[in-house]
Amino acid sequence: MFKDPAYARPLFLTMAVCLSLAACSGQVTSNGQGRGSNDSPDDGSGGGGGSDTPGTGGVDGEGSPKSFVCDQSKTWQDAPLRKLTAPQIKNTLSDVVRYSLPKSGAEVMQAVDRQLALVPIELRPQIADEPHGTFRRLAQDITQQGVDAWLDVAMAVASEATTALRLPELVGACATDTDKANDDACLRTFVAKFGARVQRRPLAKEDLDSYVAVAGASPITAKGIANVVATILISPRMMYLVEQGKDAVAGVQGRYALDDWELASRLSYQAWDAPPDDSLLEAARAGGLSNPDQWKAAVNRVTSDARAKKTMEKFFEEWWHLDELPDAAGLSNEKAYKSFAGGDLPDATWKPAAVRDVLEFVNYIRSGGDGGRLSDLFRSNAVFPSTDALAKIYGVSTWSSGEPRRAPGRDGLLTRPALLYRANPAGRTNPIMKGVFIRRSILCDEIPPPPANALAEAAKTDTSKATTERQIAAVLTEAPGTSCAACHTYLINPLGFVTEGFDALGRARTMERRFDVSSGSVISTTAVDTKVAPRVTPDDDREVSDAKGLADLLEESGKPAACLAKQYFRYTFARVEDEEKDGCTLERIRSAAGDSLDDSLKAILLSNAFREKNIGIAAGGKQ
Amino acid sequence: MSGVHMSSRRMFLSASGFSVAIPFLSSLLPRSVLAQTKRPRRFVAFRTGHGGIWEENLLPSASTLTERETLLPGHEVSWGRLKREVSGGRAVVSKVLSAPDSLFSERLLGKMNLLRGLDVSFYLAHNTGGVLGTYNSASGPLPAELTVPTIDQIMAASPGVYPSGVSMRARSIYTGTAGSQCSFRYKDPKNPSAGIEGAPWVDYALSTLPKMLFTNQTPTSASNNGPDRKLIVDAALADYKRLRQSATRLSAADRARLDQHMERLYDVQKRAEMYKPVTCTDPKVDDNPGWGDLPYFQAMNDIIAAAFACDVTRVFSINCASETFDKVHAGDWHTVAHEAGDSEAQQNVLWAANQKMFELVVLDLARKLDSASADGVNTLLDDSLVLWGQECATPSHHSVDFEVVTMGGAGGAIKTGMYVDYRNKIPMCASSGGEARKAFPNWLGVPHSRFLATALGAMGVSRQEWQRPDGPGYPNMPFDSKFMGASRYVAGELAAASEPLPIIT
Repeated sequence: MFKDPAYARPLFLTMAVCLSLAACSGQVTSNGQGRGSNDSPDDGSGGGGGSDTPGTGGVDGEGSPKSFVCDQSKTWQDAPLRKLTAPQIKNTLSDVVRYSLPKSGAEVMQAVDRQLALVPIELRPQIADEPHGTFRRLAQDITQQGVDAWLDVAMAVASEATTALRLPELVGACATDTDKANDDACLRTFVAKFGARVQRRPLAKEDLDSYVAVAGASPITAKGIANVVATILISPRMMYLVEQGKDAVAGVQGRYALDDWELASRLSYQAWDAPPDDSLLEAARAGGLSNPDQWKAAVNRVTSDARAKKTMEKFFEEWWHLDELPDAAGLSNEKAYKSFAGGDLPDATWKPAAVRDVLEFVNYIRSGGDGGRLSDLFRSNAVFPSTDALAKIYGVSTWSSGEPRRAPGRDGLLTRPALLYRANPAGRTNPIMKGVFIRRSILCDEIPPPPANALAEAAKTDTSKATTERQIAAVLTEAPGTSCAACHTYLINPLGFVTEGFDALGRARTMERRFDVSSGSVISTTAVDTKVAPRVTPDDDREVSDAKGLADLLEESGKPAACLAKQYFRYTFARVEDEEKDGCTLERIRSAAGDSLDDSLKAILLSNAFREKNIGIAAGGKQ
Repeated sequence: MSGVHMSSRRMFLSASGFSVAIPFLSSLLPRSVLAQTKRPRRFVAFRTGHGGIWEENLLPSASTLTERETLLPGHEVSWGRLKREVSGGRAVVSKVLSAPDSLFSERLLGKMNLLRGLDVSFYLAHNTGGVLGTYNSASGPLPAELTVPTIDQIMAASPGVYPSGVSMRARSIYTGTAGSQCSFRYKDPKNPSAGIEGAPWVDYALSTLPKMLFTNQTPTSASNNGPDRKLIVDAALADYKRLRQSATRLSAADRARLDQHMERLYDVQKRAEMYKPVTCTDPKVDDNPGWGDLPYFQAMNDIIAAAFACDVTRVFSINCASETFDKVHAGDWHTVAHEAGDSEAQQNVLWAANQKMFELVVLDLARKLDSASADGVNTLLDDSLVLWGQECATPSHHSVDFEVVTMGGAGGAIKTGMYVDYRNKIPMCASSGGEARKAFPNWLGVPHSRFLATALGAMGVSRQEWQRPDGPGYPNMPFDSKFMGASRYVAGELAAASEPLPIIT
């Protein structure tokens, strides 16, 4: 039993990762299967490029792979009928409304704001190696709540877009004139144009006829047009990426090259979370996107657009769970926290500034800053503090734009306040969860759930003599012979201890102060010990004592690049990778990361997997 | 005498100064309610996060347990009548279960139950749907045998709750604070193997629900000139069918997803068909109290009571997240919950917040339901089952010895006024926590699924509607051998996992 409640360890954090001996005896697991020798990482002819560097393949011990095997004879299994995410549908609606109502579209979107607010946002689905949830794009459930909400939105948009004042703008003067003879042509022209914009391709004749019929008999009425608008806005080709392909891929049964319209949509939703713009639609209409050179040009244009930056930020934000940082502003009345924070007490601006700092850092590295490689994310001391409070923590002046500030001793991502921060009333760090983050999110090693008796075991542990978080974590989880020790001792805790040279607000420290929760007074001050053997790979027992040293081991292991490949693959294809069948695509991303983080992320857009779909049906339509 | 019997002219006067008046007249009640020979039963579930309240703060003295009854050979359970101590104007069963004497009356105490000793048989930790039977866990996706809907959704789909021909505004309402989905249903009721999904959550509930439940706006048309919902849904269904049946390349999995989408559209149509015109009065609650805090739920209680009185829905499930307690403690609830197991200071914050929940939300609803009657004899509370359950058991992040508070007799299906301890205090059933830690559970009890079976049965849901083929209990819970093996229950305990709880039934 804990002898002093003030030192009581938040057991959930400890136990959430206290691993079973059987599952973790010296090794962490991976759901990967990539082993052995490697062929070319380039997955074929599409896209006009890709690395020729052969991957080394395989995994290190039982950990996650550091490269992938590209076996061209394997074919992947695509996610079936991908649903657009809520932000993607919203962006599509906004595009369509502004396109169809250039004068009053903004008013219409404003008028349906309430209905849009009721649309459920995808929750992060749990997967085996991300029990706290992976990317929202993988939330592909078709929920009643979603269908209901989009129906309401579609009806609201239809209602607003067809008011007496807006109907001529939407359909044309022919909709409201007294000439009934032009009604049919008027209606068909509108439906064809509106439908094509919504569905990102020309309407098939049977669809056109069907939508026209929804409007009812002549004369054209606002109600009839509203019914058409709402019907098209909830149509399957609006809500889903309906991809049926064009030409069968030679020699690979069931795989088809996407047609130009499908390519345009894939690219724009991947890069912008938004529908194709006029240029992409025009390129699709002209059939240019099937051409590798024109495709590459389109990729370069789309990924250079400002919208691509936002989408990429979303990827990193979700990957590193930056959107889930707790708020410390509520701790401002806690005595211990006030003592801990001193003049750095966070206010409401602290968290967004800390997240912005990381995202600007990634943008900087992606743009080629400080070498521009993935490994530079773990080495660069470029910082982007947009508030005085964050700048003070870094010991630099506030940044607003342009070149970054330089913070000596801040080597890479793992030293950024957003990743060190913890909202604890006594200002305590959490080395265990820091270790879990690196093991799980940076190295992509899978960590099994804790044993069921973890809480009970920890409850019996006396931590009263421990005066640092490192000591407490060690007492609780590293006792020889306990079910927690195997993983915590070697694979989790060291990765968290190495950044204990920073406190729970991300301030550099050499001494760790502990505070009495009730009075806020300092109970102890102890030198911080950051020397560890982080075992980035299971058989590597070299020691480091700071983030810089860890960065060397990370780069040498190759695992962060492989992890990036897996994560970006998931974000792109809305499914969990199969390391064997998706090996070519994964290896293509991974191998590019050594030269350029940005090129690595673009590489997926040039892969065959992005430009083709395994529909699982042989040419001719037989399954 | 027929019609509604009032406790006072102003039917619902909530606590703490939040006042809502509902001119509750007999004309509010549809004749169908009055004419029914079997009174409708209603269900409300409140789910709060965390748990982790020490037993000395949540439970009454063990001396309350004056009676013994043999549940099975080797398992004797104890129970007693709930008692309150009244002092200084407050009625106290425990620190949490306390309220002003005028509210926590003998009458309401007599309609309450407190149950403990309900076990989940594996390590659960964080979950949002466990109170109602979907043991979703932060430690990973659910295994197949646990991928079942929550009991409120089973009720919503049951002819036992909604006999054929009964019209309603909604079969169930799931609302409260966002972010912790506590109500789940089958993605495809015709194909349970397709898994479950979160039940639709009603946002802006205090303004949305009155419109949804008490105003007569035909669901098929927003207005005479606006779009026609039924026509649009029909056209959309035709569109999805056209794509599905097209000769173009679609995989079987693609077509299955189109089928799922069409099922959702059919559901829209079905709801339109069961639409019920009402003559009830909008309860006119203040729709803008602090979002998610206690007055918010008191306003919600007014809506629930009015909805039951008007018989426009019979099932509510309400999630109360940390925000609910923010008026009690504005700090980091995550830390409070996790440290309250060992820190008395944090525990004091936790139980004080839960006391507010009991007094201002659970008892508030009980009082409101007990103030109205559909037949002049039984109150709405008598015909209802209101339950309050928490995310975790006595120690947070633990799943042995869950406690549940219930109010109401579910039309006579539930006996009330009791404190029942279902734990089995024989050495074999000592749980792994031992005596090492304050408030750690010491004894295994009965499967939590027995409580779920009790609630389902009380609401008139037949066992055939929920019994799973993979074993007894709803759901059939797997055992984590490192946690508590099946062998630590006495013979017959697990086989009875589908049986209603004794003592209270």
